[in-house]
Amino acid sequence: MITVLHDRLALVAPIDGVSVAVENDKSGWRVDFKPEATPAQRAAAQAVVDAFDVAAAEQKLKDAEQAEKDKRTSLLSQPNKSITVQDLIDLGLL
Amino acid sequence: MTWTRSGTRQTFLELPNPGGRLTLTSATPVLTADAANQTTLYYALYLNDIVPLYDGTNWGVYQIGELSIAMAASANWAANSNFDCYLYNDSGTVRLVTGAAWTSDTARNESLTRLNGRWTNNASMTGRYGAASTVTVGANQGLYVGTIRTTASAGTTTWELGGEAANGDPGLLYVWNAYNRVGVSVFVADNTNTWTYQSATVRAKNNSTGNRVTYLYGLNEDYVHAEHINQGLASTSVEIVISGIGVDVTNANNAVIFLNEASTTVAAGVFAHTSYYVGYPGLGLHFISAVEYCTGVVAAVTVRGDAGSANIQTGFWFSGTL
Repeated sequence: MITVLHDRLALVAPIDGVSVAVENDKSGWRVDFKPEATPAQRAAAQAVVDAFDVAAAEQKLKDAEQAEKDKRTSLLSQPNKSITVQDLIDLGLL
Repeated sequence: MTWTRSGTRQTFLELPNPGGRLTLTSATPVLTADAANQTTLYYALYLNDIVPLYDGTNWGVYQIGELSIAMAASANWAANSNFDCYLYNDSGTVRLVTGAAWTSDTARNESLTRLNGRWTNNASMTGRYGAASTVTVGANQGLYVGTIRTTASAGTTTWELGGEAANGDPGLLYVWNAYNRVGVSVFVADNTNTWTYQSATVRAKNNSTGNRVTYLYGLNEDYVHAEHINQGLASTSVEIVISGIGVDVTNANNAVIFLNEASTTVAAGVFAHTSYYVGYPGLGLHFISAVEYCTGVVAAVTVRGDAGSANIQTGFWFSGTL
């Protein structure tokens, strides 16, 4: 979840990172801006925090993980398939 | 050489060491719990109830009870300052007194000198034992027993053993003993779930001043030891967070042993990081901070505090002798 939040914040402001004390309490969230962040960028980042939906982000990550598992299952269920370099990467072997 | 005890001169084969300790709780010479923001300084009995004091000619051995100084809100113990503490025989009354404030966090104002192996005031000085009570302490007649540090409030000092909190619960050890020192351990845990970092610049752990221990040494005789255990989740093989230890800084890693567990074969993974520091930061006030940085800046690294789990807690541990 936090990597999704980080990436969204990084799109609107230069940041070093974000700290989440407790996921369901945004009062304990803190964005660490780079010194060059402008007031407008900081405001935009706060808007990202305010709008961030933790449940939706976690579901998105779960969906991505499931898609990855499905891809591996699909590859492993094709014993006669010629293995390519991309297949090895998809399987996490490269 | 001769010494006196309770007014009666006796001969001792060996001059005894003072048996008490500076503390912030009455009758508690060894603090094993917080005594935060205290305004009374005690010299509590510990190993024995005798102290050796010099009168300008001879050493005398004196039997004492617990001594104390009430410092509440007095500007005479200015905020954020170090004060040396002495025992002195004031015409038959043994007093606990403080000298002048140090000139800086790491430099004392009034120098010490050894007399027969014991640290005493090098020159005549004003000893303070109350907000409006002072006494002149002749050269060598104050036995140096330790040093205290005031907080941001005048006349207040503190002893805090850290703990677990979001952004860390810092340790503050503002009482140091010249005699009968004991080992002190402080654990600082940041129970923030997780945080990200994407920079090669060294910073305080979770960018928080709460992840540190600040302590005071009146003499540079004992080492300090610190250990920082962290856990990072690298998103790529080149983005590894490194956990370190800063000594009086948060922008450098002074750990003497540290690991990054970098891997070129694992694209992403969870890595535990441990770093150690041992050394002699020096006289006076110092802080030891947990620090962190990344080996690359391509993607953010996730660092765990407790990960929102009952099975994980990263942290920082300090030990010293005070």
